[in-house]
Amino acid sequence: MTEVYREDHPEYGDSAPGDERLDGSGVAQGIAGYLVGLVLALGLTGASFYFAAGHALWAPGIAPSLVALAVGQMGVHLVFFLHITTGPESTNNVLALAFGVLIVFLLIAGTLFIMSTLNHNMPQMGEIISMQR
Amino acid sequence: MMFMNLIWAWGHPEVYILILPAFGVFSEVISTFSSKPLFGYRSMVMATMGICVLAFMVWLHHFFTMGAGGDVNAFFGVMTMIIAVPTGVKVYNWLFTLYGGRIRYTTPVLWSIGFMVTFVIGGMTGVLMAVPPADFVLHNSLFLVAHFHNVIIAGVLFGVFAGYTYWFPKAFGFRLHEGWGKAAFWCWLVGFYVAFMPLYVLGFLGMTRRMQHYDVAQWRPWLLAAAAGAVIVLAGIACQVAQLVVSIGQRQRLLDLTGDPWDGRSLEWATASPPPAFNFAIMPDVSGEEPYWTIKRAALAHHELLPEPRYEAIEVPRNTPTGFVSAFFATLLGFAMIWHIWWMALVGVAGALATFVAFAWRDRSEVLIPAAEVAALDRANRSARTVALSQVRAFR
Amino acid sequence: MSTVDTPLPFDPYQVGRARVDNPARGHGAGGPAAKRVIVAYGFWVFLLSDIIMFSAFFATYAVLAGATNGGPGAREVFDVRNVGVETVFLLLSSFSCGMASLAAGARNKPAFYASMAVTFLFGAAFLTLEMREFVGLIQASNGPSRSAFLSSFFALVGCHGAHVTAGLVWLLVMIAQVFAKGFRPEILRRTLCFSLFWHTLDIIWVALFTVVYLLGVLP
Repeated sequence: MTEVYREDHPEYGDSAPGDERLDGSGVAQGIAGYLVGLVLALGLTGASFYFAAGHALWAPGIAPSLVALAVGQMGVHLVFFLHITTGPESTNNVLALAFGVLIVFLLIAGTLFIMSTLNHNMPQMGEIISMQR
Repeated sequence: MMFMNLIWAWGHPEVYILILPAFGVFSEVISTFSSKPLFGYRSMVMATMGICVLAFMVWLHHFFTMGAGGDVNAFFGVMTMIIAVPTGVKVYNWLFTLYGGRIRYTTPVLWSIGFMVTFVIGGMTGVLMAVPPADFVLHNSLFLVAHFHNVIIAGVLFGVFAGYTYWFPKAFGFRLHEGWGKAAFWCWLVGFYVAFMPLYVLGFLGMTRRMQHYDVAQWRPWLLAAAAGAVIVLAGIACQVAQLVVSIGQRQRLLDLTGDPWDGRSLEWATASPPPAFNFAIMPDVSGEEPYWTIKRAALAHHELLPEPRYEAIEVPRNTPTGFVSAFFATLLGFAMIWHIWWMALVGVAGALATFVAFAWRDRSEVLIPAAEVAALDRANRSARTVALSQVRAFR
Repeated sequence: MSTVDTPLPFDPYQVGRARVDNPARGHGAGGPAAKRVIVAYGFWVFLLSDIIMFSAFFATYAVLAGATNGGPGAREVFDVRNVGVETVFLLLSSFSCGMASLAAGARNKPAFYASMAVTFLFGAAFLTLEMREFVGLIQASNGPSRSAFLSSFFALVGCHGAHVTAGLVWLLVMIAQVFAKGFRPEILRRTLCFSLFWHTLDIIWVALFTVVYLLGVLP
């Protein structure tokens, strides 16, 4: 059985996450892509650590900017290292990612929401002890 | 409470993992035996996707009473009620599929109709408990126990039984005995109501779950009724065992020769029963919702099957015990971690790792079924269908 | 897949969909995707489920970060410089892992071995630093049983560390496979899965150093 690989088709290129082009020119391009990713990631990491040291920013703005930098760096990793693209065969990967991100958000936000009001309707420990007397 | 939160953040989506496949089974069964396409296919898909997302936003309703604030309880209570909406969409779609159809009351259909009636009752008691103040009264009472048995037995278990009867001939090549199947259904349905409806009453009478003993005389008649119901359910289970035994005994009579015993509509009925390892001799392309129904109509209209395709060798995965073996070691690891048996945990890790490496080292994970073998198997299926087609012609 | 030269008069299955005049229109109409794409997708779904598992650990940590039970808090136990070095190590190992998959794509064995070795060294260095941190904490009697904060810290960071350890074992297995079998298609697909795994660990580390260490030590 001769397997016809889709990647031989000119319309379909680098589309699966982590995918590489196989021809010679692809290698140079690939290295360039990873280098861009590395530089961006190092830059964002550096910025995070710099801001966290607390010299450059207004104090209440540090935490949100750290979160923003982290989200940005995750995006850089997804695009340049995992090769999540907008190509036709990446559709499934992107949809799965969107669902995963949704669940992660719901789980973390929901847990914080729930646990922050954990004892809202509960008597204080002192009251319980005084009730037992 | 953190453990409670995490276990239900997993556990609530998990009950939808239980019920959604059962919903799929009912859609297949109801459409097939109503001889109609599924009503509102797109809304069905949308409802499923909606449930998939909403399922992750309701988990707190398992512990409304833990002391959380009104905001939290209100939010999760409202989300819990909202999830009844897509579920209702599905129930209406099944009803409209039945409406105007030529319904054949086979065992799978009985399970499906039993499901619809019973599941709606369970769903409504669920919406009742989604109201946090009501839940404060009903929490951990037998009302709750009745509710979740009402949805899980009538939803999941009936779905599994419907699917078991429906696809049994596809998997094993012969149908299950209808008489025993219907007897099993009626025992289960009656037994279910007799066993679990009293529990709702007992919940209102204040009985909590997981009691070691009780001393309330008022509860006794209801508990006796529930016990009688359990006996009827047991009779249903006995009927199911008998059904399997009798069906195996009579398998020559119940043989499924064409691979399409129910006048099916979806693609699995295009294969022989039991299907060959490769399923389809040629890759089917699906352009409508009921590709097999379309092709069957065409064959009946033209009094002949499609021209024989050109067969090619098909690559199929080889069987592997890896999943079983690694699950064994993972279970060992989990057990050992719980009981702090460190040597056993090490054995589990090492075993899982060794299995992983051995699996990763495999050379051939696929086998090629030669074109001649594919052709032979598919021609047998085609000739069985040609015979059936000629019988349909003679009958007309 | 099969190619039909002349379209059949009645072809509901459209077996001939791989025909030249019928290029993909999306929705799977172009025929089955290449195995590589399917394998990557399947592994991607596994990774997402792994990420969701991590999110449970993150949620736990976020809830318990303040529960120090009178013991030390984040500011007293974390050494941000150590974390910075760890981060750079992991980033560089991610980069060299990318180089390894490029080398595998170009069927260049020496380059593949070299980049995988570099990946291993950086990964092992990362792990050594993390272990040193853990040992230091435990020796200062700030182990996982000291407080809920430290329990959740060890669980979260330790879970990532366990993943890195498994990744290192897998990395060695991949080197051995390429050595013994060469760049066969299935070996390339496994290498692809490994690189996805390794890059994903780096993404989780980004969330980790931000949430646990940087936000933890904020004044």
